[in-house]
Order: sequence, then C-alpha cells, then structure tokens
Amino acid sequence: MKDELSPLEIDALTEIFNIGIGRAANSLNKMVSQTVDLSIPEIEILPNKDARLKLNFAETTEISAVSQRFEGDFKGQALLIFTKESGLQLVSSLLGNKIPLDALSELEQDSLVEIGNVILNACFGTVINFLKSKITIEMPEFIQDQIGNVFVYSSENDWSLYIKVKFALPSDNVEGFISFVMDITSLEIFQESVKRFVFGITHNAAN
Amino acid sequence: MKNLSSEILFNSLNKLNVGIIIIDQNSNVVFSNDWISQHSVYQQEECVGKFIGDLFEGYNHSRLSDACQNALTLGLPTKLSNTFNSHPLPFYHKNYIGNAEYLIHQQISVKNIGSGDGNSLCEILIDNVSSSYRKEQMLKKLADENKQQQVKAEMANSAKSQFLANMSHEIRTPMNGVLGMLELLSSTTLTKEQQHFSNLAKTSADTLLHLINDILDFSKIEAGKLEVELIDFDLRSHLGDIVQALSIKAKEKHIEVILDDTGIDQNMVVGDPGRLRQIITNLVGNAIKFTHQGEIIVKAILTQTMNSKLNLEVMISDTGIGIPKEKCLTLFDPFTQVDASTTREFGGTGLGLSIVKQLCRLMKGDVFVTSKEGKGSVFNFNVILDESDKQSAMLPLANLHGCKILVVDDNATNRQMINKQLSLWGVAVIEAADGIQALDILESNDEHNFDLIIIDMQMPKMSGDMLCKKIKENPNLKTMKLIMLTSMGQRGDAKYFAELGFSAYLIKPVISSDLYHTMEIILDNGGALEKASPLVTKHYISSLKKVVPNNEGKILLVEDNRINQQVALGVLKRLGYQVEIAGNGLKALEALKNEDKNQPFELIFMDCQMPEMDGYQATQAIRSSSDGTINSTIPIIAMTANTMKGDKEKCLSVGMNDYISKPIDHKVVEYKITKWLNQDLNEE
Amino acid sequence: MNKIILVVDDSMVSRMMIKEIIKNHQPEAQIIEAANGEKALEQVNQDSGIDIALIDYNMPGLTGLELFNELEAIIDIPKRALLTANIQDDIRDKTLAAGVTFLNKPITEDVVASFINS
Repeated sequence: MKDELSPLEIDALTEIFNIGIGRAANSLNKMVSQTVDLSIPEIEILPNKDARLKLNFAETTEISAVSQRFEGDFKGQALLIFTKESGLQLVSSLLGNKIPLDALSELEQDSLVEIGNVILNACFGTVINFLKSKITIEMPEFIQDQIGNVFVYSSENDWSLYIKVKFALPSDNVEGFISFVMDITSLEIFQESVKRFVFGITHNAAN
Repeated sequence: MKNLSSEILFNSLNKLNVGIIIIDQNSNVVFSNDWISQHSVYQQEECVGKFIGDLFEGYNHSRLSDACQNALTLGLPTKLSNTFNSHPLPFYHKNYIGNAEYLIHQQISVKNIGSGDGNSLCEILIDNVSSSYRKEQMLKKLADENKQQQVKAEMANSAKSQFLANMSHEIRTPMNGVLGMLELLSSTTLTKEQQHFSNLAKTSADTLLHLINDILDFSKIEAGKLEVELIDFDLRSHLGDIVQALSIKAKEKHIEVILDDTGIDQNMVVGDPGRLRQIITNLVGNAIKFTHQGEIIVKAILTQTMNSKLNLEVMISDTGIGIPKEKCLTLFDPFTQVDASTTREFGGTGLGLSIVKQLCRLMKGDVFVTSKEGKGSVFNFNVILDESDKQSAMLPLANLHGCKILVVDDNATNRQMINKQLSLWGVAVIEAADGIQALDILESNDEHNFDLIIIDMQMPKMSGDMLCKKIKENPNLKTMKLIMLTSMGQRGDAKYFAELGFSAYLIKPVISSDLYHTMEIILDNGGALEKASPLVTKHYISSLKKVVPNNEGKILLVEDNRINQQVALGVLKRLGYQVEIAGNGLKALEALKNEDKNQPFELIFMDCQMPEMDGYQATQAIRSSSDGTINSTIPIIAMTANTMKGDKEKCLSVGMNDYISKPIDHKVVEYKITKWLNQDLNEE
Repeated sequence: MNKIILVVDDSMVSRMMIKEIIKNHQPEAQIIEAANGEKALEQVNQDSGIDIALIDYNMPGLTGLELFNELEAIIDIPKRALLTANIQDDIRDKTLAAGVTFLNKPITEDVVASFINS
C-alpha cells in the first residue's frame, strides 16, 4: 500500500457512502412503506483477508450475498453480505412479517437481490457522482454459500473497502456488510480519485 | 459474433420470450419486440419514437423510470421484482389485452447497453412471473390458514382445560361433603342399625368417588393434562401401606395378599407415590375381584437402568378365574372388559385398566398381562423412578446376623417369602408347615436354639394360638420368644395374644421394616420390649419412630363452603388441633392481623377458590406483608379440587408451601401438618 | 448586510463543500461552523445574531432536528435548513412543522445558493 488516505480523505469517503446509504434507505422506504433506517457504524480500507476476519464468522457460516461486478477506472466486485438468518430476517421484516421463515426461501433470493441492488446502486451512484468515476456495472447476482468459499474467489493481494451497515427496522435490527473488493492497482486509482476530490474542495475553499 | 448478420440478431431479439424495450437518453423508444406487441395494446411500429411515459401508464414517477434514469446517466443496472412493485405496467395475458383482470405480474431488468456513438441507450427487459406470483399467494394463504388453525386449537385446548378444572371442582366439592359428613357421622354415637346404614352409605360413597376419580382421570389423560409428581418417598413403606390397605378386602374373601419386596434394596426413591398407589390398587383390586380362593402375590423388584434411573417392576399374580388369551391384548383399551357379563357380575367402568396403562406410560413404563383361564393371571407393570439423595438411614444388619428363626405357616408361599427376607438379613431360617411339624423340630433338636419363632395364626388342625399354648406348656420351650402373624385383626387381639405369651403380633401382609424392627426390639430384650404394652405391635413401632406431633398449635382454616368447613373442621379437631375459621381471603388476613399473640396461628389451610379474595391472592398478600402485623412466613397448605398440570406450580408460585386435594383425607392432613409444623425440627 | 451563517455537519468535507458554495455566492458572510450539536451550542447565545442555519440531520449526539429545537430556545434564526440524504416521512413532517426547509444530499450548488439568497 503506497499512500494511505488521510483523515480528511477518510471523512470524504465516509460522507460519500453515508449519502449513498441515506438515499438507499429512502428508496427502500418507498418500496416497503416502512421506516427503514440505514447507518454506517464502520468504514475501513484493508487487505481482503483482514476484512474477512473483521466479519467474525466461522468458516462454515452460511451467508446470503448480493454481488455486482464493476470495471473501468477501477475494477472489482461489490458485495452486500448477510448471514443466512439475517438475510431471511430482513426480507421477512420488509415483507411485513407475514410469511413464516421456512416458506420464505422461494422469495428470499429475488427480494434480497432487489434490496441489495438498491443499496449497491446507491453506493455506486454517489461514488460516480462525487469522484467522477467512469465504471460499468453488472447486473446483481445472488450468492449463497459458506463464507469460506465466498472469499476464496479473489486473490491474496486484493483489498477491500469494508463497510458495516446497520438496518434499523421497526421490528428489529439487522446487520450487513458491504465490501468493495479490488486488486491493488484499482485500489490505488480509487484512492487517487478520493484525494483529487478532497484536494479540489480544499483548494477551492482556500481561494 | 459481431459478424452475425443484423437480420439474425434482430430476429433473435424480436422473437425472445421476454419483452424488450430499448430507449434513448430522452426516454424515447428506439426498439420494442414482438412480445411487447403481443401483450400490450400496441403494434410494434406504434411504439418507436414515442416517449415511453406516454405509451405506458404508470411509468412516470415510478421506480422503473428512476431505474432508467440511473441506467442512462450513471450506467447502473437495476432489478425490479414483482414483490416490491405493486403497479405493473399495462401488459396483459394474450387474448385478454386491455382487461385489467388479466394484467401480467412482471419482473423487470434495466441496464445500460451503451452505443457506439457515445449516446446512452437503456434496455428494459420484462419477464412474466405470474405463475410464481400465484405460488407466493398460495404460500401466504397456507401460512394464514395455519395460523388460524393454531389459534383455534389453542382456544379449544384452553376451553378443555377450563372445563376439566370446573368439573373437577364442581364434582369434588359435594363429594367432599358427603364423604366428610359420613365420616363425622360414624364417629358419633349411633344405634347398631344406624351404624350399619352409615357404613353402607360410606361404601357407596367410596365407590362413587372411585368411579368419579376414574372418569376425571381418564378425561385428564385424554386431554393430556395429567401430570406426574416427583416426590421423595419411602418405596418399601409405601408398598407395604398400599398392600395392607388392600388386604382388608381380600380377607373378607379369605384370600391372602402377600408382598414380596425383597427385590428392593433402596428405601427412598423419587416418583409419584399417589399414581403408583393408583396403579397397584387398581390391579390388586381387580385380582381380588376375580379371585375366589387362593392367594395374590405382589412382587416388586427395583433395578438400575443404563442412564442412572431406577426401574420398578411389579408382578401381581393371582389364582383367579383367568382371562382368555384373545382378551389379554385389548384388556387395556378403554371401555373394554372381558365381556359384558363381567360388567354385570363384577361392576366397574372398564376405565381402570386403561388408566393404569396410561399412568405407566406417563411414568415411562408399561403394563401387560399373561393368564391361563381357570388358573389365574399375572399382571406385570414397570415404571421409571429417580434416585433419591434422601436415603433414610438403613439400620445396621449386624443385629440380626447369625440369628436362627423357626417360621411356622401352612402357606408355602408365605414361608418362602419370609425365608427370603430373613435370609437377606443374614438370618438362618427353618420352616415348618404346621404346628405338629414345628413341635417336632423344637422338641427333637437342642442344637436348634432358635432365637425367635414366627407363627401364623390361621392354620388348619392346629391354629397359631394353640401352638403357642403347647409351646408354653413345654418347660424347655416356654422362654422362647414368639411373634404372631395374623391375617385378621380384631379388637382385643393384642391383649389376647399378650396373655398367651406372644412378644409381638403383626398383621399380614407384613412390611419388612416392621418385621425387622419387631425382631430387633425382641432380640434386644431391653427397655423397648418392656415398654411395649401389652406387646409389640405395628403401632408401637410407629410410635417409637415418629416425632410426636405438636397438637397444641392453632390452625387457621380458610374455606367459604360451609359443608367443607365442617368436614375440615371435623378432621382437624379429631387430630386434636384448635381451629379458627375464615370464610374468604380478606377475612383470613384480618384473622391473622388480630391473632392472639400468646397463641398465634401455626399453620393455614387455604382453600383456593373463594369469593372476594381467593386463596392465591390471599397467599400473595400474606407473603408480601412486611409491616410486621402478619406472620408472612406462616406455612400455608392449599386445599384444591383441581389436580391438573400447572396447579401445583400455581400454588407454589404464589408462595404456598404444599397442597392437598379434595376430598381431603385425614391421613394426608395429619401427615402434612406434621411435616410442616415440625419443619424446624427436620432442618439441620 | 453581512449575514452570519451557522454550518453544522459531522463531515468536515461536507462543511468544506458548503463553505465553498457560500463563499461563491455570499463572500462577505461570516461562518460559524461546528462538527456536532454540542459544539454548536457552545458557540451560540442569544446575541449571536445568526441569520441562516444549515444543519446536517445525521450526526452523532443530537440529530439536526433536535439541535434546531435546542436553538429555538436560545435564539431566533430566520432561515433554517436541514440537510439529509434520507427523507423519511415522519422526519419530513416534523421538519416542515418546525418551519425548517428540507435540502437533499448530495447538495448541489444551485439549491444551496438559492436557499441562502432567497
């Protein structure tokens, strides 16, 4: 890792994703006519294997995840990860808790993909808007597997923009994790764009 | 593949089984395929060039239009499911175009497909998901129905419980009155005729109570509401009590009831003594009913199971009329008896054995029968008990070890039984089948210095008392210590046998511990033997063992029903206690507040169902009292007509110490009072 | 003539962006900035003479709406705006009821400019 981001740059990154998540909450609100609050308690850039550790799941934990690949200025994969239970809980909650959990699996996949899509899109959107990035983004895919297998796809040298997301719903709280996984070159380009953005503001403000 | 002719590409896109619309940066339609025209009001040519919001109602301000904007300006792909989009675009099932009832449920994907010349294009893909939607709806419906069923079942269940509780109470209350009053009546001065009528009434009432209990039990079992207790109790003593109580009936028919508990090596166990009594009483009761001569043997064995529990196996064999083989299996089904004539001849509801089976099952065991018509039957049941950590002190066996005893009884089984038990205690036993044989043995051999002779009373040719006289006439033998075992207990027996020269007399069937203590006392030849007047009996032994109950205590009886008041009052007064009555919870609290401090209440008998303030509320009030005007730790025993699952917990959870069920049994009352009044003495 | 403008947002970058816009459209304005509600209250009293307040909704400690409530007890601010990405119905209703304007995040120069100039 060449240059770490400065506190101000981390501040910018946080604000960008906060706004993204806020807009996602807004969209989810409209979708389910329920109060949905999203917040980001944690945001960090670290090597992928450290991000994996941060998740604190046993190797065999079943997870449900939505993935969207992207390429262009930087390339990688965006993941929204839940434990299988949290995923079911989130979907059940958003569907008004009317369907018993064991009958939910049929719908779970489609619903979770849509929800994940809304959130990841919102994040992509603010990143593109603020950082003026040029990236193309793929359709969302559903992954259900043990956590150990999900993190195997990427190489040891990949890095993660790791974001913890809290969903506050009227009935309960659910926790999910967003990870923008990129190789080191992409990460450096990404960080460059953040620095440029912050420089632009401070530079202008100074004038 | 870029070389594929545009015609091929066009056709493949056109003929796709999903709808495709492509719009440009201004949201004007650039392409729409066959599917679109087949499922909408438009022909293909009609769409091109038009603003999509004008073509399809509901597009403007929808999530779809947001998604298209996102795709066009930011390149973001979006998936829109049917679940979160309740207003589908106007696409219909073929043949029903324009019919709002036939709108298709849609799943829509939106993505940016770019274009060579730098203009953004957005592709909208529409998939028909009506069939999965139907599945979804069905699932929801099933879930709802399921929930409704659950609620219904729960309501029915609690209605059942309520009914059983009410019925229990309604029935038991007057029964308590009838039995209680008859009991009190018989203890007053009656003419012989009156006593006779009173006895008949009591027998009928007992039978009625028995039937009612059977029916109520059966209902509870059916409703799954019967619970099994876990109490520490003395197994051997309990079996002895049960069998003794049953033998009274058997004696009237001149049938012996023999208890063989040599297979039990632990005294204290944990289980439900009440239900155990119910099972044995039922089976032995049946045996007595269907046996006209001979004997009934109750043999009990206690073994360890693999998971540190205790398996109690009891075999009840009789020499009765037997049961046909085919009937053996269905015997334990409810409402069956061997045949209709049995009911007429022997009575009964046909519920007894099925309840026995259910009770055994409740206690993780089972019951079965083997029988030979004309010869007799063997009922065999087992239940699982728990180990008790309250092992009562097993008396040292050293005392009897090495003793020599002569047993005289015409009944071979009896002799063998006693022999077996005495051998376990290390005693050497010689048997004699009648008086003549006994005298032969005694007179012939001086080596046989017997420490004790046990003599049965009822023997043909020479009865036990005659044998005793003969022994006492013999100068060599007259110092021999004799124990009399008799089936019939009559008034005046003690004096009679004492005068004959017996040191002790016990009533069959004998409990091993009674036999043991009797032998102990006699062989000890000390103060205990002297004090036994006129001789050692079961009662004498009991009095040595038990702590004398403190009959000076004052008891508060809280009961609203006047008849029940009288019944309980009678029982308590007969036991020698002073009693004050309060008609409901409120009055009870007042009585406690105003009690005479020189003679405070030591215990409360509290009815559960009362007006104004019931037993539970009153108990809670007493327990939570902290201003010192009421003794908040006074022992409270509940009297309840309900004996269902959860009742015990309810009593205990509000702070009651114990409970007895109505109709109240004076022995149980005595036991409970003794237990709770002597609590201090029992604690170490 | 010189307006006094209160800017409260936990993101420094966000404050910088707002300040930049203000500088572009009202260069003479005096800016009081704070990173959260508590710090904002420390700097404000009844004599502060604040004309415009731009406050972020989502902050640690007091939310933007709560901060507006607290300020109301101290000082009268004629122009008040709440900045947020998430416009939930109940918050929107409370905001409008309090007479506070709603500004969406990400903020655009036009929207902020027209607000402070109105």
